[in-house]
Amino acid sequence: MTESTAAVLPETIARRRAPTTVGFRDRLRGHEAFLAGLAIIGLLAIVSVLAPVLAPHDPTAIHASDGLKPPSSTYLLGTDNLGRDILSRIIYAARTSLFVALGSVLVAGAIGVPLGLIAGYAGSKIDSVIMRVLDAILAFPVILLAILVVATLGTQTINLILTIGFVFIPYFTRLVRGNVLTLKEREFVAASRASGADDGYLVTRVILPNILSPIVVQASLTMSLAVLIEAALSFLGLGVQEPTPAWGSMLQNSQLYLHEAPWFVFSPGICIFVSVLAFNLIGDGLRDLLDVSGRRR
Amino acid sequence: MVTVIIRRLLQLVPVVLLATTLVFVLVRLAPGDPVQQQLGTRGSHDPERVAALRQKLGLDKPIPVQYAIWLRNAVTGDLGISVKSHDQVLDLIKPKLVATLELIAAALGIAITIALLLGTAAAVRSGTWADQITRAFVVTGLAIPSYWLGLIFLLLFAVSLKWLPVSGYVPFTEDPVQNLKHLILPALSLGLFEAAFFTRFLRAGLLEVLHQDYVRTAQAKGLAEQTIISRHALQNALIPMVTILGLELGTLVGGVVVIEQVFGWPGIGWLALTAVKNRDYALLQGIVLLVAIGVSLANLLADLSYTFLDPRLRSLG
Repeated sequence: MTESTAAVLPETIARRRAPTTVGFRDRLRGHEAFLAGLAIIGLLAIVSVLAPVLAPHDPTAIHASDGLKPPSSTYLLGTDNLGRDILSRIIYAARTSLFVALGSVLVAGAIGVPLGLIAGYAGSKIDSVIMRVLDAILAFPVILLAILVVATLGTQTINLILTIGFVFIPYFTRLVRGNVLTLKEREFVAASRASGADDGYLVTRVILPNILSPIVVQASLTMSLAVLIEAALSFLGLGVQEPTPAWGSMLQNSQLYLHEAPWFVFSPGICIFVSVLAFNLIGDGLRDLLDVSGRRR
Repeated sequence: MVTVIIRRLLQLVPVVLLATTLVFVLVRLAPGDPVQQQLGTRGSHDPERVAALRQKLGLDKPIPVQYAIWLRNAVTGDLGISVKSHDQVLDLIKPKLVATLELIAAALGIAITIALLLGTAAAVRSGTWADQITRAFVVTGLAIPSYWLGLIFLLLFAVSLKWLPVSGYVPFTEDPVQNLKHLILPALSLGLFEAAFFTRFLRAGLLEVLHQDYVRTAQAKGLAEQTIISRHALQNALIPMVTILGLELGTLVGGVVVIEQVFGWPGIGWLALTAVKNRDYALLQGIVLLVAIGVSLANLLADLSYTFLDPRLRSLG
């Protein structure tokens, strides 16, 4: 046996026997997809923050004589029908998209998680009332419900965030409720109760910390759905309104010029695709890393 | 079994009631008055005309009363008349429903075919190139917005190659060939996302089943690999797929709303968006009622078929 194998062997055996003692960095090995997702979102976040510096042109500046120009050294990704620089617009749109997605997931979590805690912990009547109401929300296809709510509230960014947040509340409530139902039967919860902890303490200090992992995974996967829904609403003309750039509304615009400007349709779509992909990779990676069991693989 | 079905059907009642209440309230909270919109700026200055139209459409009563009346009529199959066109809501919905169901059926057909082929190949040849390709397809397919895919297909097959029409719809009964030509691109755009979704579940399910004892027994008996996969493994892996299928109907209907816009497919989603823009209360409520019932029934059917397909669960029902 050579020296190198001898050196490697004990390490692999050790890793198999005691996986809990392995550091987080070691566990990241073999999770390149997760890291790639993280890198993409990091990059998108930087682009969003530095948009004014990075964008070569004003995203809303109209250059009437430069309408539907193909990619060139002045306009790297070409221009839209009003002569606005497509690259600058997709850079600024990243801002809107990430902001709406993050905001709506926070709204969904801030309402959905406490509802789930209450439903799961209180049980009986409160539980069934909460769950029936959520079933009613779930009976709608997400987009249809979002269209309805946006039509009611209006299309300002804050309303988009509230709308998309609203349709995702049941996702968090169901997840949390299910976990609470299992956890509240466990010994350590009974032990805390026996040592005099009241309900509020049990729910927020004992149960909640133990279900943070699935919530984080759900949040990350919901981010990808939120990006998709925001883009779809903007595509239907019910999301972010002109002149503020959004990937979805840019796609809607590009459909009108498929003949004259075929390059227009690619860049906004690729942006949606890449950010959704990245959030999915992060969610799936986190699920593995945090060892959350789920049916998705 | 019958009592289970009846009990589950009864559970649907409060869900559908709540769903319709939600829509009723949302639609009426929305800014914009359908009566003023219809009469135009000049007509709305005439209080008598406004009041007359309001009364004709039943909008002069308090919201709870409006809801009660609507519900009473809905139970008898009368969904009211469209605020915009004054046609019976049900008559407006029926032809659109046919178009949407055709699109959904075609998309599901595409999705299931691809999932069966790729999912089986990936699970049986786990770790090989077939598996790699499948996994790449799944990861990509789940992240591509279906309407963007639709636009790319339009650019490629309709605008550049001119093989297929850009948009529109021809009823199957009028011209089957044209109907199918118009159907291909929207169905593909919608179906590929679902295909990725189903493939992932089928691959995972098959991988689990292939390690079960009865599969090893079948191998030990010397059965051909094909027989083992189709008779033993696939049949069992498909059971959870049925549930997924039922749950996915909601997502599919959501996707349909956007895809119908891209391809000018005059279906339910297209009608719903028009209704939102026109503040057509009655029409929107009718659509939502049918969709909510449809989606809930699909979920119920999926649950029940699960019990039916898996004999072990039958005695528990």
